Amino acid sequence: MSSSRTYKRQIPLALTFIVGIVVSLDWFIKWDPLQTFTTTLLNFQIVMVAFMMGFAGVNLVYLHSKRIQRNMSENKLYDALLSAVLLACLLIWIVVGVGMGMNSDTYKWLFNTFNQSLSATAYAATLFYLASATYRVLRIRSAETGILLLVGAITICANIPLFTAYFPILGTILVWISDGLVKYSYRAITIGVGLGGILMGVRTLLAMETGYLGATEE
Amino acid sequence: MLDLITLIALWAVALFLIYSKREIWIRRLPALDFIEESVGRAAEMGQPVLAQGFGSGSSGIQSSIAPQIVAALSVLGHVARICARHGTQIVALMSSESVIPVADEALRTAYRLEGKLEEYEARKEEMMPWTPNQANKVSAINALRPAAHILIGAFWHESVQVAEAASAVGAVQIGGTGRLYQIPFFAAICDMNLIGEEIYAVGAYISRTPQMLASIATTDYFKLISFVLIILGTLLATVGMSGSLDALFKW
Amino acid sequence: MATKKHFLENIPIGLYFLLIIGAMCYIQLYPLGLPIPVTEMTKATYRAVENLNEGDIILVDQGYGAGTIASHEPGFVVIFKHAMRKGLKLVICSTSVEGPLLLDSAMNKIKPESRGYEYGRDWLHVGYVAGGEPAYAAILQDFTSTFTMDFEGTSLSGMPLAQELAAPTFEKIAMVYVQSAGGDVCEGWIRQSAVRYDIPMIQQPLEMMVPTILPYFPVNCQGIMNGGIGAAEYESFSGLPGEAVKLSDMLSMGGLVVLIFLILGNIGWFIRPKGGN
Repeated sequence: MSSSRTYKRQIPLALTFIVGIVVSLDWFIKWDPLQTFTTTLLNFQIVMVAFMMGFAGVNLVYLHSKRIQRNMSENKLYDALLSAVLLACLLIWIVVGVGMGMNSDTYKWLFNTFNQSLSATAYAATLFYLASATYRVLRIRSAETGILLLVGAITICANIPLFTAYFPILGTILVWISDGLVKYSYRAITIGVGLGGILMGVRTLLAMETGYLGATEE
Repeated sequence: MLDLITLIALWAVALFLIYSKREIWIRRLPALDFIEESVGRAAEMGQPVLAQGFGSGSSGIQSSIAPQIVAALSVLGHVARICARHGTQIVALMSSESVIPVADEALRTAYRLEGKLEEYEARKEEMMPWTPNQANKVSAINALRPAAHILIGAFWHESVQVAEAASAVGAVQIGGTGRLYQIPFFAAICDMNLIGEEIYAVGAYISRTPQMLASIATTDYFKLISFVLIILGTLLATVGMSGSLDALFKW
Repeated sequence: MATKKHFLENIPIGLYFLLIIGAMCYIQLYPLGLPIPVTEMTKATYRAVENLNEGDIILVDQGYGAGTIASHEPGFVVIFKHAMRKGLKLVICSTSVEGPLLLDSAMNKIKPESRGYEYGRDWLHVGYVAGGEPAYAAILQDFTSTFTMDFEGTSLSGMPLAQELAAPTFEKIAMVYVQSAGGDVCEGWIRQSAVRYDIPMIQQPLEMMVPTILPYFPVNCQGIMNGGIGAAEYESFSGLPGEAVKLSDMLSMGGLVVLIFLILGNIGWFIRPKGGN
């Protein structure tokens, strides 16, 4: 039990502290050996993140394999088919990508035909969700919501060249809103978020915040 | 040099407050109090609780938004304990592969503390599906039809889509993020909100340990100092003497 | 007790979406060709590039994906063309997994060879870099240890532009140009390049992310292109026309429909019988 606790908690906490202090010091102290060591650590981290992507792929295969098994046993054939299509696509992409390379014509055709079109479509759907939320939610229920609506309407108009071409005053109003209100209120929130982030870092380095190791035991 | 001094001062004040064992009070956060109520609603309706906010793609626990993901994981652990207690299903949508093992540990610990580890082990793949983009998340929401939707953590452009999709299926929503451009969307769509650095207070609010509360108090003291410096800078700039403050900050 | 919603508040959402799509399709067929007013942010971005000297190196983070290609690609194309006009060199990396695969589409529009630009000497593409902010720090500290091959797998040791970026790389970079759909990529580059090393920076985030980057303008970030609209303004201002100008008419129509429905919804709210919540 204690050796398990040592490697599951104490070693990661010690590593976190050492690496955190070294990388923080590199920001302030200009010393070549420290900079070289920090660059090496950062390069390690880049490699680890790349491996994590493979881990996610394995998770996906495991999850959908179990789903196919479960759905087949419950006679939910359509759901099983969807998971099977996902796994088939994953296999095709891996075979083409690894076997032929990312610069092959086949891979580029697959990417441009499927991935690019579907990604752009999914991203464009944001407009419809936003439009739906705007229509459903923005009502003048109170003074605050009235101001929210007014600013939102001015911002929409000022970002539409159709309006700003004929009513240039909208651009001026938007600049005033952006530079006079939004910029400074966002700076204030950014200061707060930044300070909160620094203190979260302090808590992490001092082993008070152990959320990244799993929930704190009671 | 000034930034190094500021950082050391911040550490010193934080450590002083943490180890001085003073009684520190933080105000109520209605959004966090609402979590138990929303989980109760989900239990009554027999529908799951959905949690999101654990990063996206390459922005995982190794990135600059790690503090927000850690805050999201604190919420996940807390919500998971309540769900385990009530027997309600919880689903945590994972977008970043680096968070999956950490979330696994958080959920496992929560279920273990409620004495329901076997239940977790039997269903853990369903509880943490990998949903790397917004289309996956929206389809998960439409399939699961959650009664409660916890959106605390780091969000990108998918925030509008997932919040609106959950709204369409009738979920109560608690939103909170430190990513500024998503705050307006949550403010408009969600029932309860945490704004900006309030999400960092989650761990302290839930655990109420003196160390965590002291770190929140430290943040507030430094915000006060920032406020004083802003006023000072504004006055100096008004009288045409902002150069002296610039020189101090560049030192 | 809640009163029944007026029909103006309850217009079928499918009809709403159809009208948006219809309006945008109509304008594609019959463009209005409206003038595009150029904002101060876009002018500042132009000036930032214009102030560089011939031979200066721009580090480009082509960090967009297939979802945002309509906004970001025109921006990338116009900045590259402007850089070629000034005789600047460009080193392209990407913090988006899809970015490198989308570069061909942009380069087919730019055609650098037609202006005598040679790959390896005047521009370079090193592909995707994983790791987030630590990766940006590593690139700016020592480019040649972070990247040893370009995106095609060719060793960088034989490329003159790569050798110019040996450590300390931050001293060799004249500007950083960041395109991203994710605001923390933009903020991460600001912290690692502008704050740490005082490197001039221009950015092209999406329209909805501009308010978050605004606090850094113009001190840390010398120019911001407001997504696709900013790219259209840049094309218009620099005299390098491209595809973004066509986008602005579609944006107009889509926005107009959203505005009309916003007004209708609020009219329905006000004329709803009293006692409604």
